[in-house]
Amino acid sequence: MTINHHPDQATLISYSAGSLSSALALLVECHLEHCSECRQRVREAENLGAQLLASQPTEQVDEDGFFARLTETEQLPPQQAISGRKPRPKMLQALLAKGEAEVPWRWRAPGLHSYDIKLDDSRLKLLRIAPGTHIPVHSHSQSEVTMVLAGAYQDELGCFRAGDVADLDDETAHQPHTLGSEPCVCLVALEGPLRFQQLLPRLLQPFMGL
Amino acid sequence: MSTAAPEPAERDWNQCLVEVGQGGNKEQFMAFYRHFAPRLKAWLIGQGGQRDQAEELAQEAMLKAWRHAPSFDPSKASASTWLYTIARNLLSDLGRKQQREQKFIARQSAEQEAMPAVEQAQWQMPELDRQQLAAALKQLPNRQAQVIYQCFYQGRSHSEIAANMGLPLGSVKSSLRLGFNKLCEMVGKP
Repeated sequence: MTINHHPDQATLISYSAGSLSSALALLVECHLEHCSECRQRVREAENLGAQLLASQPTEQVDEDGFFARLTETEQLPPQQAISGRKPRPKMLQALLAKGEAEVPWRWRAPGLHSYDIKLDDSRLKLLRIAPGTHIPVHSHSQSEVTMVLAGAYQDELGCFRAGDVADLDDETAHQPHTLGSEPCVCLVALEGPLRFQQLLPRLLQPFMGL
Repeated sequence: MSTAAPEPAERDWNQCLVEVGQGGNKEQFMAFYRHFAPRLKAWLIGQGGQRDQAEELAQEAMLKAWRHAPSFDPSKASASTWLYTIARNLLSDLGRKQQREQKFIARQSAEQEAMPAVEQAQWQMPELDRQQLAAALKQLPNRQAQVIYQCFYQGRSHSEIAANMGLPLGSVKSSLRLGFNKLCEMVGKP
């Protein structure tokens, strides 16, 4: 997989700090699986995070109580490495493993289907955009980070294919349209509702669920 | 707490953890605990925990480190980074900051909002790299230091920082990038 578009470095730093919303953290992890360059950046930020943690003033801790717990705890064999990855919601897992036919899509607008995964603090949206679909020009009230899983789309920022991430903030307006003959399937981590610039899509917004 | 013995350097903590993984020596692991747990607990308090809950979470992270020590590989991550990721993941399993605060019982006041990063005394640590880091943080422009602080110590998202500081999202992201890159340059790439 050749990746041309990456998450903003600030997003990777916040991922390393554990301070992204759950939706965005899940999306970043999907990208990291495909991108060694971003894995390296995350590692650098984790090193800095560890140093920042180590530079904390110290707090008194309970040594005897901990030692008692330690003596009751068995070590695991070396094969059992720690998985740092967040547990994935079932529908995301199904989509990644078996493809878009697994998702009970809901119709939102002509050419546009979606499925919402509600997380404790944010929404992860699965989007299926039919070939030849144009999404109206919109910007975002907060941030919108999109990762393409299948198919491709193009907007003012370029062409986005599987593995690519578009990390947009509230200052970017864009008008994406799909490329090729396959539907474009994306993950979108949303923090605030989209802001459409034209009246009609703005009126439609509540129905499109974006 | 005894401060008689000098603290080992980072590579020695790697070695310590490798040996703990091979031999299961509890006393040796306690040395690791005595060094890292007090800092871990302080960090968890900063992330919105109360003292007893931060203690519990720090112990959980340490027990996890003990259980998994046999799979620790210093060629992939240093001991401190490895422990940091364990603690960070435990913390993010608790949910994000707002949820954490509810679970932890909210504990925020104006003073705690203020950034202690510039308070000299709080950053003085025995090892050279801690001093370097504290000095580096103090050299950052205030906005960058604030953004780094809220991101790494308070677990705030970009939009939370933006709302908190009254800045556009784009400025938060650029301050975070600039501050991070300067810090890395100043302390040397870890």
